Amino acid sequence: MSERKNTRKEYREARAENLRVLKERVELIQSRPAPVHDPENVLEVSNLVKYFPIRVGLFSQLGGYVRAVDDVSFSIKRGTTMGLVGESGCGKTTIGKTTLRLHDKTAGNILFNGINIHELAKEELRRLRPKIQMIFQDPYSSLSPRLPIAEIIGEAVREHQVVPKEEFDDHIDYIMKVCGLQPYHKDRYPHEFSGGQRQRICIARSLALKPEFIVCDEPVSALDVSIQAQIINLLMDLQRDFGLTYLFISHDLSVVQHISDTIGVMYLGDMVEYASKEAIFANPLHPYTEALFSAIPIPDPTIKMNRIILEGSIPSPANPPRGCKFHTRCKRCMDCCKQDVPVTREVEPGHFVACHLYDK
Amino acid sequence: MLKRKLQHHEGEAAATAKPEEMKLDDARRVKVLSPGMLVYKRFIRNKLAIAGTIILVVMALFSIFGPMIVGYSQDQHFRRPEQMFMDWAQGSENRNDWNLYPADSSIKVSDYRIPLLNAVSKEKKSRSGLGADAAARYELPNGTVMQATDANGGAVELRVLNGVSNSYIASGELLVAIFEGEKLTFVHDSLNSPELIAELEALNAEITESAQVEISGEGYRALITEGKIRRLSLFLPDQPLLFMTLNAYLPLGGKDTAALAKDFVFISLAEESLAEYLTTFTYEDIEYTLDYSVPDVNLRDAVIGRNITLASDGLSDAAEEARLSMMEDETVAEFMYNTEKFRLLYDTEAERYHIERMNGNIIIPTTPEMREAYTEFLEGLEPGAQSDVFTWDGFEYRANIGRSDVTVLDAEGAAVMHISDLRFGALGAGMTLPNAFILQATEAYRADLTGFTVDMEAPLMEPKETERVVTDEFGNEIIETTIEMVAVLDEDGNPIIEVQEVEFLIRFSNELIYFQREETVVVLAMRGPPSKGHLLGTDVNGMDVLSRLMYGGRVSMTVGFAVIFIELLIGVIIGGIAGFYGGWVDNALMRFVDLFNSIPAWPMYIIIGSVLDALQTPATQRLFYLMALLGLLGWTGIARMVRGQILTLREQEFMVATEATGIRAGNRIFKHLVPNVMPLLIVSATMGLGEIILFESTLSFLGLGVKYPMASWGAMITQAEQMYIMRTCWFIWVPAGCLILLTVLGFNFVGDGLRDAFDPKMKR
Amino acid sequence: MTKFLIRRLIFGLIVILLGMMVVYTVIRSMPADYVKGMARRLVAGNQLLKFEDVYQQLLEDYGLDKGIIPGYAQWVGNAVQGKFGNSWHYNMPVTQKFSDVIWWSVLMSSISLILEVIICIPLGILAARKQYSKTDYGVTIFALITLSFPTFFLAAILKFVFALQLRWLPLVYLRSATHQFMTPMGKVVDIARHLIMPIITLAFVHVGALTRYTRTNMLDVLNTDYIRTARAKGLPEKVVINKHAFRNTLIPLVTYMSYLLPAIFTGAMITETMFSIPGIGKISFDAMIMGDIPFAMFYTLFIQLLTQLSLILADIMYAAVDPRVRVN
Repeated sequence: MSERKNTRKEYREARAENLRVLKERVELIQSRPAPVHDPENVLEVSNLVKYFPIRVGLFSQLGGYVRAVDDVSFSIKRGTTMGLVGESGCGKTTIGKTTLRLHDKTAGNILFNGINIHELAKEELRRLRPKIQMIFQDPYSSLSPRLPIAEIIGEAVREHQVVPKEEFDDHIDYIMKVCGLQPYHKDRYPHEFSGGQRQRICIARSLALKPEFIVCDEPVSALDVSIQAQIINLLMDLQRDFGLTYLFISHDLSVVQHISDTIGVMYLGDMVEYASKEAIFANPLHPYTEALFSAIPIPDPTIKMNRIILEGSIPSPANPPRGCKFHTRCKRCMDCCKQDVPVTREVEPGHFVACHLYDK
Repeated sequence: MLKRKLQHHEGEAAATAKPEEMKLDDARRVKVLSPGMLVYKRFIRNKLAIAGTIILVVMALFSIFGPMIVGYSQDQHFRRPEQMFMDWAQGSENRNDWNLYPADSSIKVSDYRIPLLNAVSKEKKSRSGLGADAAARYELPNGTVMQATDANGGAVELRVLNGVSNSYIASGELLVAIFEGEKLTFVHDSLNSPELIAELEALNAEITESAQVEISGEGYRALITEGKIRRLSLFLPDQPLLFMTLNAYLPLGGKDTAALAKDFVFISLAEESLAEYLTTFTYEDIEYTLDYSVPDVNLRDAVIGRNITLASDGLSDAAEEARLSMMEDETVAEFMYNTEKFRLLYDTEAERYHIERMNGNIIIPTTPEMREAYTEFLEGLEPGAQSDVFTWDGFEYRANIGRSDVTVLDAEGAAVMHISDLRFGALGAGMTLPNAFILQATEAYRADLTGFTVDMEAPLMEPKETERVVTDEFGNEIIETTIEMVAVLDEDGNPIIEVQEVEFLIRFSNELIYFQREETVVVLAMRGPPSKGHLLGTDVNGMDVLSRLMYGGRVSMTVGFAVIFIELLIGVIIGGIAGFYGGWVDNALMRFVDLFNSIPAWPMYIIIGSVLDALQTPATQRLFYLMALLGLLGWTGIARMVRGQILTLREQEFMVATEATGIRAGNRIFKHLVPNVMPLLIVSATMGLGEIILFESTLSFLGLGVKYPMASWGAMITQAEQMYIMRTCWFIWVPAGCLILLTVLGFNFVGDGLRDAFDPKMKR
Repeated sequence: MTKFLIRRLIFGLIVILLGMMVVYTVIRSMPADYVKGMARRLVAGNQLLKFEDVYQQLLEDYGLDKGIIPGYAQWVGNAVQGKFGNSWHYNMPVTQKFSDVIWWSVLMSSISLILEVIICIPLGILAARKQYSKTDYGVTIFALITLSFPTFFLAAILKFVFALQLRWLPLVYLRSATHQFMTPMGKVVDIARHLIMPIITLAFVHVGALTRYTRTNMLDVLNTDYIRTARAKGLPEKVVINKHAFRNTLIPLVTYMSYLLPAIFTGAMITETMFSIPGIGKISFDAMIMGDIPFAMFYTLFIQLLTQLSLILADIMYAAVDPRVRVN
């Protein structure tokens, strides 16, 4: 009985300690100076932290945090696409949503065209929304089931008065045409469309607001491969024609390879590697990146794949491993990896990695 | 607005487009169905749902328009004329018929009977000052104190106050003489004395004014009117005790005979003749005949030791039936005959049966042979005989022959007066009993009959529909048609009087005999079977069942919709706010919901129902309270459901998309969230309606819900709790229950159909 | 798990206390003045007692001289000690009257529950197996009809047909007039005959809901892949249904039926009243109508306790089956 008491006491102490450490960390990050805005960048994310609280016990006390996004920094140049890859649960979607302020940040800064999104008042934020749009993963649940297409696409346009009244119908028609939809689709309802068409509608909905920046949260994961290609090509065409900037989140590397200009690799809330597409594919530095890329299937049966298989499973983001979060699965784990958190370094120009292998 | 513009554009586009034929697989040919239309189509395909809708529509039409067609109001009472026997007159029998027992054997009874009789006549009493309230006390020489009080019917009742016996004693005044003009006529010869005459005549000459004078000395009392002594009476303080009975004198015929009945000279003459069983006497030069009916024989049974009567045929038959149903060792059986309860007793010692009446009278069951023999015996009685013995079947009955009912006939043989022991009183105010009735009634009673008919004059009545103005509880004036019995008028406007044969019944209660007359009475048309005016008959309060069903339908539907409205209002607001804002708001509101859930429903209904009963709140107010209570205790389910649905929907991506596209909160709620909560709400509301109607009818059934005079289906079934209603008046309760069943079923069918129609997981 | 239980129990207690307070408040406002009548009765037999004193004493005993909240507090204080006082309407201790009558209700409800289970579950399974067929249709209509039937009407119809017209069954009460003259076996049969119609009434109304629930659950189960697998394996249909499908419907079914636990004890007030069976439903209804505060409070407390218990039981069973629930 006393043993149990002891372990319980220990547990509570450990928990309190954990909370304290995390709190310090957040405060440290918050104390860092605000970044400087580079006009070439549409989006600048610096030291983004997003923790979700865990409630335990009889009275829903704070028991810990799920460290969804743990100090992530990147920026996206205008007109380019950044791909964000990683396993499920690594925090990609959270980054996307936090960028849109669909979640509130815990610490860090997000600048959109120099504007700190998380410091805007609610109404200002709302008026800014047309500029930053999002395309969702599940085409089947992202459309309001009881509204006709014209209304789905046009609602926000009307709300924000993106175009003057007289041009409204033409604008809708134009957007629909651009997205590959027919005019007679206007009166139809979402349930009458296929997955690919629905995704087009989602794209049209976002596009109609004349955005500058679109977060694509795994937009093609739920579609057939052939349709995937169509949608990806559409997105790329739209980027070219309208000068859009994308943050493309996916776990499908071949798609990311096709569409992205820069790529960031996430693991358990950390961005372990960030570089241009060519650089990262030519020279994956982080062991995790290596393993990921080795798994991309090559449609040539004669080529033998050299897959790096990671042992173990992904740890819980509420209780990540000490030091480098990847060390439990890393083949090249060193002693220092178990203790110290690796610092992000620019190994090559524009090629960043957070790994002790590259500590010089 | 958007739609029209789109169509306009489409139309333009079509007009400017090249007229080309559409291919068969052109996607434009696909018919567009909105989600609403889809639900509608699925609903229509469901046969049960259509059946339910039809039921509900029929119910609604029935309830809303029915009353207008039928035309009765909700609490309209109906009446009908019914032939019923109503208490009409009462009679009482006297005891100790004509038996005189002098206290002192030396007294010759017959000498005193007449004067005593006269002394207690009505006129005498009023002159002697014994009024209704007066109670005179009189002490006899032997110490007996008597008290005289005025009994009804004009008799004087005398009682011994300190003695043991309870007997009638004549008052101590004796009419001595009557002055007719100057001449003094003595009533009784035995008091005729010259001295008295001289004194009285002298007195008569002296008197000048009207008065009631007491002449002291000998105890004379004189009544002086118009300056003359009209009557003279003598106080007889030392009269011996005499028991007497009072007789009923019934004048028959016209006004002349009525005067005769008050003339005690005539009466005393008749009495004397009666006492001696004479058949004629003369009064004022008219010869009167005394017609004796069957002598009133009091049979005394030696075995039983009491006076008995012989049973009539009907009563004997009833007793025989009761005897046959007696078990082997039973000695007592009760049976009913002609609404009176009798007991059949078997005397084991004497080994014979006799019947006992409620008032203690003993009756011997008879056989037809026995009755024949008895009739012979009666006819063979000697006039003037006072007793005889009648034997039958080894049993001896001492027959005390009393005076029977006597009819006095005049020279032409017309009946003048009837003397009997049965005293009658009318039960209606200001009513006089026709002679024909009294005669027949006495005969029937003597013959132990239970019914008789009399030809009587009465105005001809007929039932007539009249309109009354009645104010209902709202203060509205309603014209109600009801039925009244009115006299039929002839062309002069006078009521038509005709001789009708009226049927009477004899009914016994305590010691009184009630004579009931068949009358046409207008009563509430309770429990009437289905008829032309009332397709489903009338209920226990005389109201039309069909109309009440319709009004009940209105009540049920009103309660249902009102309660659902309250529940939806509260539930959607609370559930909506909780679901939409989440966090502590959600928590707080859910605790609030739990609080309401923790109130036990049934005890609350019962308790509040009883409170409202005790406070005697009017019916319409109760309805409001009922609706409020049902709504307040029932909204939690809807709140929970709405909250749950909103919580689910909130996480759906299209809601996130609305936030991402920057739609305002109001639009998000009403354009996106609400239309997706509606399906579940509609289904819940529909099923809920059915439940509420069931609930309301159960509460009304228990007496806690809608109360009389408002109609409710449940309350109509309460009437069936009485066995009689349940068995014979099915039309009162069965239709109500079927309607409840059908309505709730309709709602359930529709709700079920809606649920299937909204559910996209249906296979078909 | 224990934490969950403890939290549930505390929560349940709070709910009970609050609910009882509401009931107490309402019932205190009932004007039926039993106490005066009781005082009078007590004084009538005893010359030494004065009406005023007795009346005051009774008021104090039952906390009626205080306001509503202190009175309620007093009741709670007494209740915790197990003292529930004497029933005013029945002139005996509340708990005694309660235990006298409750067993008939338990008997009736238990038998009707068994009947329901025997009828509903096979029917529901049958309807699910033959979805969209005439059988399914028929069962659905049957279930909906029984759902919509008012209890009292059903009781009246049963009485009318079986007792009055056909004379097969006795009309009311628990025993016949000649009950005491019967043999022990005869007595049992006599009571059984009297209980037939009430039990049918009780069971009839719940049949619908249970059948539909079974059918819905069976439908869900039958559409799962593992049933398809079982069929594909070539198992006879009977085994598929009885062994695989049925077992999986059992769990939600049993949890559903745990909600019916309070109903067993609260009795069916209407049925008992219609058939004049002296069960807890009728007795407590009479008591509540007459404003018998001690009895009404005890009865309400009893229902609340049972309701909370059944909810906790259902929650436990759900948690045992569905791990997601445990996290909440």
